[in-house]
Amino acid sequence: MNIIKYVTPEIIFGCGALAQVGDSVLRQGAHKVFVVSDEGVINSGWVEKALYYLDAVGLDHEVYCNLSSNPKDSEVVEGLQKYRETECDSILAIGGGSPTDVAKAVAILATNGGIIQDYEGVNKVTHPLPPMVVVPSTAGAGSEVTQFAIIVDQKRNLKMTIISKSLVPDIAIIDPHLLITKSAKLTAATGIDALSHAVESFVSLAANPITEVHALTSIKLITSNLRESYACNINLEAKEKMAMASLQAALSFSNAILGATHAMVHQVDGLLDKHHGESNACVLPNVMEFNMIACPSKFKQIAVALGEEVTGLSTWTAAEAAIKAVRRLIKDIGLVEGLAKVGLEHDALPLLSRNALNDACLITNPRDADEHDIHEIFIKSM
Amino acid sequence: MFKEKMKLIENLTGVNSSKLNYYVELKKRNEEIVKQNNRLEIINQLVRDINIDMTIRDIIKRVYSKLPLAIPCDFLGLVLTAEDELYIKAIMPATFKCEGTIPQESFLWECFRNGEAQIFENVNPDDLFVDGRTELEGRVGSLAAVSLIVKGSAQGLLLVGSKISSAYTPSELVFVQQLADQLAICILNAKLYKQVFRAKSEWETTFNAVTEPMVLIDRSFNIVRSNNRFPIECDSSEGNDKVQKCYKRIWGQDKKCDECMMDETVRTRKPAYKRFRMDKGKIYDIFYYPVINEYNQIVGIIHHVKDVTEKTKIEVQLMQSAKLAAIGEMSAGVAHELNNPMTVIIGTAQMMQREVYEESPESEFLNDIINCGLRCKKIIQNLLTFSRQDEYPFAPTDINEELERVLSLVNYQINKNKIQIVQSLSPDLPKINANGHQIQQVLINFLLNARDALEGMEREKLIEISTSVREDDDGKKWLLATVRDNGIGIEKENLLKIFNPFYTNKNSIKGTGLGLSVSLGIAEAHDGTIEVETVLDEGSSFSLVLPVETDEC
Ligand SMILES: Nc1ncnc2c1ncn2[C@@H]1O[C@H](COP(=O)(O)OP(=O)(O)O)[C@@H](O)[C@H]1O
Ligand SMILES: [Fe+2]
Ligand SMILES: [Mg+2]
Repeated sequence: MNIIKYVTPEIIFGCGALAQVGDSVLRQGAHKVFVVSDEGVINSGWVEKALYYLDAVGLDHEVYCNLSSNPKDSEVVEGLQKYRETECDSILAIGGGSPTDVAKAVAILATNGGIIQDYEGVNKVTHPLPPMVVVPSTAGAGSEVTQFAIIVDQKRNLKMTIISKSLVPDIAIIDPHLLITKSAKLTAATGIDALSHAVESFVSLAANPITEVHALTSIKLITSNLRESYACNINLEAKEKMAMASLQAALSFSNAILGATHAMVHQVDGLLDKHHGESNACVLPNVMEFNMIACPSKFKQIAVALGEEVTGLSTWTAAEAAIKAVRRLIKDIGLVEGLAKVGLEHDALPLLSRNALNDACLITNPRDADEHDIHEIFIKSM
Repeated sequence: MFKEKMKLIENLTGVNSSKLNYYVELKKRNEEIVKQNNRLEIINQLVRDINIDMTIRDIIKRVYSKLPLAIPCDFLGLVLTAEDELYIKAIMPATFKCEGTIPQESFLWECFRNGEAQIFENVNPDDLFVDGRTELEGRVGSLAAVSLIVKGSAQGLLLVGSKISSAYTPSELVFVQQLADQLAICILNAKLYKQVFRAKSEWETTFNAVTEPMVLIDRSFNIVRSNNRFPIECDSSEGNDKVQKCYKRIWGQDKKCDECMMDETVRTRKPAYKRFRMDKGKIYDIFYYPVINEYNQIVGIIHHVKDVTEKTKIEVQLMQSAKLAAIGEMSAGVAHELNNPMTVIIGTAQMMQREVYEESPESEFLNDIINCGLRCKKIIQNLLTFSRQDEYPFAPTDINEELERVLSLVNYQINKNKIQIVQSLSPDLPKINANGHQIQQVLINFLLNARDALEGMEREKLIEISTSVREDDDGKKWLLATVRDNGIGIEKENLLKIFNPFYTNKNSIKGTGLGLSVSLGIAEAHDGTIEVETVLDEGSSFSLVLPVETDEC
């Protein structure tokens, strides 16, 4: 590929960056802010803090937090109604991927109209969105910088992928401090999600020199910080590193897209209301195995980033080391190995395999995969 | 396959897409809004320019002159429907001709039926049924057609055409529809105005066509409307417009008329009528019609004043003539019946006289019988003449003779009252062209009035009968037949009233009040008049004044 493109929002990173939230939204010309969050984040006290900063600059606001773990189309409809009723003109998302995606979906409908299904796919958004500021409270989803929004279509039981440059938030405020209230399990799940983003975008057909740097940096940071972060909630240094890892993985995959892992995991998420990181943990190593043959040397680079000693090893063996290292990491942070244990039934696999074929993420997967291949990987991941 | 995949990846990473920008969007919207505003402003201006009394053609002409400011417009047509037909009501440029109604198979009909605003490309002028090919260079590049909705129903189409193709976008179509909606209102207004105006002027003409005063007054006697026909009684010199009260304007009074029937009309809610006798001899029929609104309230009164003086006079004359005719008929019969016994009486008396001595007292008695009998016959003869059925034509008449005939008829009644009659008839009175019968009627009336005026007088009662000729300053000659009495006379203020029909100061048994009014009618029919001189308690003199034809005539 000779032409590449790289998009990113304004990024404010650092402990205490949350204090910037008021000014940031105000600079966008907002009068009334639609704050999207969820109960967990509210209970952790972060929303209250953000509202304090909004009040400080005299911004009116309305909180919408009636969300579940995976963002649903019905929640978008409800959010939009509230946005309109309360006459907001800007959006602030505080939370993990779920509130951010709902915020993005509400933003689309607020200025483009219609239903969210109308925007499934690439570049369906035709009008600019309201100003949008995102404060991530997890280190993984990366929605604060991406051009994606993933929303569950409850009728079809699958995750719709909406891709548009307009979905890139205006400002991402990343404050690692927010991560200390995460449970260890959530730290693990989100961490593996970030790793999956880094790995998949690194081997993506759309990867470019900028994204590759981000991806490898992210993998390195995860390798040396995820266990620590998982192990100790107040290890602020590890949290900060994980925040950076997540951010860089997100910058990478927002521009280089993902691969088969996410194509498959999106289907599982559409079916089960489990954390996206947990299903990632089950599928990622198996997809790596499947993909290795397409780009062994890239996998060797991953192995290096994962801290594996590869000197003297053949490319192939080195690549295999990457997979082993990932499996080890997943195990170390206590995530279940196997979708069956997460709650997936065998009967569902043929349908999930077929649906995965239509997921946009599959396009950039380094190895061509047909329905049969996907089905095989699913079986392995059970 | 490869290319396809590359294309997909390119789409995903989005080399060919960017985050949408509000500035661009805003600018686009602003431009759209400015354009819309301009167009609305043009519609506003047009609507302001359209006068209520403009014809549809003028309206279309005005629109055509302004429309190019908003959208391309080389052709403007207004299609209307009437009696299941579509026809082109107005078309611009004015050099265009329209060709009658639009056939059913035309696309305009379909457009009219489905009622949706539509844009057509490359329309043949023939299909529009207009002849203006040269201006349109053989075709209408684009045509916007929208429905004209008046009060919820489609009344036609507004067609806006341009020489160029693709001249109209949906946003222009919306504008044309807005324009059509406004025009529909204007056209409806103009139509209503015309109707109202026509109805109004119809009523006004009707109102004004009535020659007598007719006014609409409110309950406080203010004139709300009038047809500006006021009787001579009212001195119209004193600021017509300022005089608002009906009693002032019509009757020249300063307060409500005593006879006013407004209150009664308001009370009964029914029309009221009264006959009004003015001192100056005019008679008016006055009508009051209540004007009741939809809430059943009386909002005013139509006050109609009709001068019936002439009409009443004629009626009275007719009545009198009929009465006289009846009396005439009767007296003719009576006279005839009396004639025969009289002849027998005289004949018998004459026969008896031959048989008595001339100097005997019987002879003197018989002589009296014969003379009185002959006088009776004479009276009967006059009565017969007076009451002759056939109309006397105008003929040369000796007024002295007529006077004598009359005297023979009324002599007795006058003598009975111990009134002395003095005659001074002009011996060389010219004959005049007159209806002797009618002249007698006038003179009888004068004489009987004189007798009545003398009734109960203490002094010596006198009636002087004279005839004479008088010459005016301008040489015109008049014949005067005068009856003078030394009776009670007439009060000044009653002098005019005496000629009014039914006016009388005698008691109702004696007078009918018709005499003088009929007499004046007769005098006027002879181009003459009646002159009265009177002094209260001293007497009166009535002269029948008739023109004397000069020889030259
Ligand atoms: N900083 C935080 N502290 C505590 N709980 C959190 C935090 N961030 C997210 N959560 C909770 O974690 C759950 C998963 O959040 P989600 O938005 O799905 O994260 P992501 O999609 O980023 O993995 C939610 O119930 C949310 O309330
Ligand atoms: Fe993910
Ligand atoms: Mg999530």
